[in-house]
Amino acid sequence: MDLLERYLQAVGQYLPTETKDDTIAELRSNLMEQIDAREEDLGRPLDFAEVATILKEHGKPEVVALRYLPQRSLIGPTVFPFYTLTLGRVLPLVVFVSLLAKGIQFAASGHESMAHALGSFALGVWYSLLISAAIITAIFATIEWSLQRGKLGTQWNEWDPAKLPAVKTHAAPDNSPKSMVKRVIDLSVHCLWFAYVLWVPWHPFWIMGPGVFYMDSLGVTLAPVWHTFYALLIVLLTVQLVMKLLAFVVAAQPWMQLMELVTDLLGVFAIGLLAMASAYFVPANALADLHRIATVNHSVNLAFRIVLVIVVAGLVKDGWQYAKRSKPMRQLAF
Amino acid sequence: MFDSLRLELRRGCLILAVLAQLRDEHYGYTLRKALADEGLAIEESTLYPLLRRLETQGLLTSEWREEEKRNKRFYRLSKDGEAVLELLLAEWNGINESLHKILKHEK
Repeated sequence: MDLLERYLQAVGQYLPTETKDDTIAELRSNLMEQIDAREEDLGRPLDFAEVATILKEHGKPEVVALRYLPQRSLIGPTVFPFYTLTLGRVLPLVVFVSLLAKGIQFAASGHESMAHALGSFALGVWYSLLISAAIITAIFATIEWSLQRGKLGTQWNEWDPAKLPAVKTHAAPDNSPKSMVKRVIDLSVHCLWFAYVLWVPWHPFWIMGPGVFYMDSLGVTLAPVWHTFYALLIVLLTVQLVMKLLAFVVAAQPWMQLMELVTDLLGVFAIGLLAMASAYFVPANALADLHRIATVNHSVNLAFRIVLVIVVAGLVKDGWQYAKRSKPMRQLAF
Repeated sequence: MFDSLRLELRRGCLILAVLAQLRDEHYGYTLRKALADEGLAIEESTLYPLLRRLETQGLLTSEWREEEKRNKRFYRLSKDGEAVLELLLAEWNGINESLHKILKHEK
């Protein structure tokens, strides 16, 4: 019976002190009864291996002991759907607020690089998500605890169907292609705009107006970053021109929205290039006021950083809406 | 998949069977044998904690008594247990009848 006592001792390690002795005594009595019955069948005492077989069939000590413990769950099945629903709504909001906060910080700093800003956002957002998830879990665990002890009563589950909000009328998304007239006008306007962009480097007055003469008088000229930006702008306008032409092809219609998103991304990249630059105007001669140029460059940089934050937020919003339209939302099943 | 559904189906039935069987006094080992003899085998590690839980819920009473020179814990249905068993049996019969009707339609 040494093996039986060793087994009971192992089970006892996991039992609560107040019920341990009683539970062990009952287990001992039942197991001994089982061993006696087996011995009676065989007409001889059981050997070590036979007792071990009975104990093995009875179960692993930890598992046996755990079955005697009251059933516990941090968040039970009644509250769990509300918990996942809350997580699903709050966590994307946390990401958005973190992104916004980082964007404002990035725009205001004036010297932080994009790579550093993205890196610190990626690290910081996990921390925010973990903290938020922990707080939500703690709140729902408290609700579960209160429900288990009847402290919330039935109030939490009371509701009045008459107080349900009126049915929202959603305008069906307009996925129909533009009319032929609109597409022709769209293409014509774009061609005119493209021609203007191609023409303007040789006629800067048509973009800067009297500012051209002011720049000359200050002894400054445009920095090389504008040349890179101009090349990117030409690429972007070319892609857009291809899209305007594809708008006449029926087979390309389903891809139009995604392509618009891609061109938006290119636009953000172009703005990002300007926001990352530190010099927009450089001295053209020795008479230039370097201090004033530095001030102007700093102000322009700040403006581009703010524009970058706005266009990135717009792109995230468009991307989110595109993803939502492409994939039906999962419905909660209670 | 089948195993988890089977487990779910059996869980409620086992409680009903244990309560019904304990209209007569039993201790753990003989109760398990009696249920097995009726064709409802239950693992010891499931049955013994279940008896404790039902006792905590006030549906069973128990007492330690010596029998054949060995102390054993005997369980029996309590007054509350009898009332709950009646209600559960009525529920069970209702479900059983409905299921029979539903399954008959399928044939």
